[in-house]
Amino acid sequence: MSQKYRQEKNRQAQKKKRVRGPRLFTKPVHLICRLCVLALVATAAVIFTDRKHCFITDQQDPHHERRWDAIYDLIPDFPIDIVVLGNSHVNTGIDPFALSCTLGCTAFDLAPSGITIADAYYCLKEMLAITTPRLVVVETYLMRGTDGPILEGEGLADEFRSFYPRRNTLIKIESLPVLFGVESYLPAWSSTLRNHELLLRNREEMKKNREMYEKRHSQKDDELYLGRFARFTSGINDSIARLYETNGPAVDGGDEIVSKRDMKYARKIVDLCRENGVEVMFLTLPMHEKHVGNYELWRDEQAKAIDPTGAPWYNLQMPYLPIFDYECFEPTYGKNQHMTMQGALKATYRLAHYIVDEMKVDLPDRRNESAWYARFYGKDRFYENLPPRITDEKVRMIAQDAYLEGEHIIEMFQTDNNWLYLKLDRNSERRDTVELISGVVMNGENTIVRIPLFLSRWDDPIRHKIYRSHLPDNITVEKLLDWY
Amino acid sequence: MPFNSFAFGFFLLASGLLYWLVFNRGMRLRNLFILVASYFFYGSWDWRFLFLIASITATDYICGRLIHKEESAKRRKALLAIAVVFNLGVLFWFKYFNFFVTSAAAVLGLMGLDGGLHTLNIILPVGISFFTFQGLGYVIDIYRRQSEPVDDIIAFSAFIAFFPQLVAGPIERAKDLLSQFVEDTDRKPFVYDHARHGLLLIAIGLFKKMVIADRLAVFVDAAYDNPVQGLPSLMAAVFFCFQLYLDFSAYSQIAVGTAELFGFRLSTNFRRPYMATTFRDFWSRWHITLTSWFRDYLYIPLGGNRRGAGRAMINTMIVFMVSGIWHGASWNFVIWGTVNGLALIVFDRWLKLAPRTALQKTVSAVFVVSYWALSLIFFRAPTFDQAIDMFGNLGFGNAESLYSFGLPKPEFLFTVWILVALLVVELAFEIWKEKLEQAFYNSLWILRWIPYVAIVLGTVYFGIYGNGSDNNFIYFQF
Repeated sequence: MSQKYRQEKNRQAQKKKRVRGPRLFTKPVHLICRLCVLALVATAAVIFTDRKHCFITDQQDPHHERRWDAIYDLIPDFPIDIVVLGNSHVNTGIDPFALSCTLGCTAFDLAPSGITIADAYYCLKEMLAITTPRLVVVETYLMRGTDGPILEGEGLADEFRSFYPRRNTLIKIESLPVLFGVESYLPAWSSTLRNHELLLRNREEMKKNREMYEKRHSQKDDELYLGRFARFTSGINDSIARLYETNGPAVDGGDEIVSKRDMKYARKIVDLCRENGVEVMFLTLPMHEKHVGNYELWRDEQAKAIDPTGAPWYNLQMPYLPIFDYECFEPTYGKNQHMTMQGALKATYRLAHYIVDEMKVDLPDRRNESAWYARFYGKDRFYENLPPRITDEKVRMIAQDAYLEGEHIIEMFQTDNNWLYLKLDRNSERRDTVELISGVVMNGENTIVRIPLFLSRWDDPIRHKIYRSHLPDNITVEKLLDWY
Repeated sequence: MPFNSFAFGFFLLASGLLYWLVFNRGMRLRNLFILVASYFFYGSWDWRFLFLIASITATDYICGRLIHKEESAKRRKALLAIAVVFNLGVLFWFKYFNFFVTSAAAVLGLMGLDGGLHTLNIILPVGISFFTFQGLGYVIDIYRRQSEPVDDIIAFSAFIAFFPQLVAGPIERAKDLLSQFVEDTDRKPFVYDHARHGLLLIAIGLFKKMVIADRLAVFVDAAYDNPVQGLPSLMAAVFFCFQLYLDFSAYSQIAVGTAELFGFRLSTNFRRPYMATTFRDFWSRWHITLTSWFRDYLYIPLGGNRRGAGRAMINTMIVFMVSGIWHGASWNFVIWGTVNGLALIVFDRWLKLAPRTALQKTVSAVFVVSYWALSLIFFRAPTFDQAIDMFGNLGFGNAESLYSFGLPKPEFLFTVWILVALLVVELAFEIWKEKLEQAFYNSLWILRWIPYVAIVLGTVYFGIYGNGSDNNFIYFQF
């Protein structure tokens, strides 16, 4: 009985097998198709989690993303005239607002932190694909002696952060083998592949990343973003200064090299600019003179890359200007010394003067373009460089285009945060201090007081001299009576 | 170009497509392509060692042919000796020279002598222990007239350098693998089921390596670098036991899977060793191709168990000590081999460990794995002193510091749970392997795709890879 039952069951099983018929999809191409489906599922999942932005770990420092957002948002109706190409030395060391306001055009720091000159080349290439500036300034700290792609560590993380938010897919693909080792090809495109370990290690951070992203994108960003990342406010302190005395310079210029790759991409940047009809120059932002020893050796190395290009080179490290005092530099004894906000202003105005006086670049004057003027109005370094509107409620205009004792006063105004500004012609012979005799309202009563104004230590505009002073809260300046 | 790298993924995709779509036009062309791909693969580590692998290939090829032609027993033996000396000489030079120099200097030092011995700065070629043994096995088989030499140097070179198993095995025999290189067909048939099975093995291997083994490695490395008394050291010993198994079995699975993609069948290297209930059983499941190599080419020539129980025990000890030193040029490996040889002799041969009931088998399996895990402390610790310290640190205290060894609490618990799940799956396969496999392959496509997708997404989201991770397979160093 049981044997019969088994036979019957076998027969049924055989029948079942026969019913299935021959398999249709058994060729290599079918396997590849199925693999592609699997890959698509995985890719869709990765894209989904990428778009949640929970694996982007630099939400607190979203400059990489904002940089390209700003470029793509600005450019259609707001041309960029000067591009300062570099890394963190530029985004802390060149103030694009000061540069723009003093030159009357738009400057932008295309300077993702930590990148090398090869990466800078592709960033510039992507930018030149959508706009044509008049001038590209290449900061020389991009030449860091790397011979090939950075394969690990913070350097690789910087390259990822710079690469990820770029939008031109073709240029990104072109740059992939130059910037990364094979192992980084896929992670470069996906924050999930780079930072998925947060899933098990820090769910809180994932949540925070997402919340910060959503918060940032739910608010309309009216702020004008020009790539600045001013993050150092205090200068070299006593303990660092003592280290210079006891240990000597933190950086030995003799150790710094410029690689063949640096030379190649310096040349490629210059060629790219020339092909696009863009003027190009090199700039060396300074570290404190006591911070760098044997700089002349380093300069000789840099010259190997720069001289053959024939592009001008404005070197603020040598000859060293005394204006770059301790307040201008980040208090560090590390190899990488950035500039403070004050240092950045000084360097920026030096660069502006070099562009006008030495380079003589044919820059557009956009001060009379209402869109440009409106966009910059009231932004950082605006009042130092450009005239406020008469209707501006934040500003009390005291004198404008007036003469006192035969000297031309361009403007004199008081802002709502009680700064008193006086702009004189650049050729004015007045020195560091001007003492004003002014009619003021003090505590509600009219009176006459002496107000000392000081030549700005940081602002050195192209077109005028600026003196200023911060007044006590109870004083409103009514008119200028005399000066010394 | 390790298996767990994107570079290998690109290489596999490109070489697989070229192999089936362009070069599948005759045996010689296929073998030539495999050879070039394999040399490219090996050269990606260090191209200079291509000369080494080529010289071993040439020596074994020539010696094999000469031995086969030679009638004189004396000359045959001499030719065999040349092949053995060359293969082992190369191995000795690259792997053991410094070890013997330092050991000899230590012995001389104990006697108050200074022999003026100096070590050399020698780089260990990847996989040298594996391909020398494979070549040696081929020559010995011909000497024993168990197989015949091949005429086709390309086929033989591809056999020695076959990239899926070149750097960490499985150590193949000529009769099994070389025979597949000399199948004279114009077009090799593409067997869909084999290729699919190969891909599944690769995916499972990557999951085991990247999700589990590399996560265990984080804890183990931290615990060995900063030893702490109590539970962390005990967990490090347990975790390393699983790390080693998952790491090496994952490698073997990827190797077998990769070979299947190219239409080759490789030997199974692991058969759920942690389900073994005796030490003999364990060694029939662990690194099977090496164990059988030592059995056939060392244990049996030494006399095996044909000369009495005492001699068999001595032979066993010799094999295990040689196996220990095969793994690495250090006394720790010799001790590790010795300890495991002793276990086989004491528990299996002497105490006749032979569990029968389910409970006995369970207890015995736990004992075997525990003993093995403890022996691996010698395998993992960089020095003898550190191994002894590690034994001294084992305990149950300091539980509160468990999460400070690279794995925060959620990740630690994830690791433990996934190990438990792995053991359950292994147990299920131990009992119902055939049924489970049949049920899987005969199930609806959607049911098959669920584990496929889960494995792939699991590896993507929970794998350790990317920026700064340097997770080579453990057996690459051998």
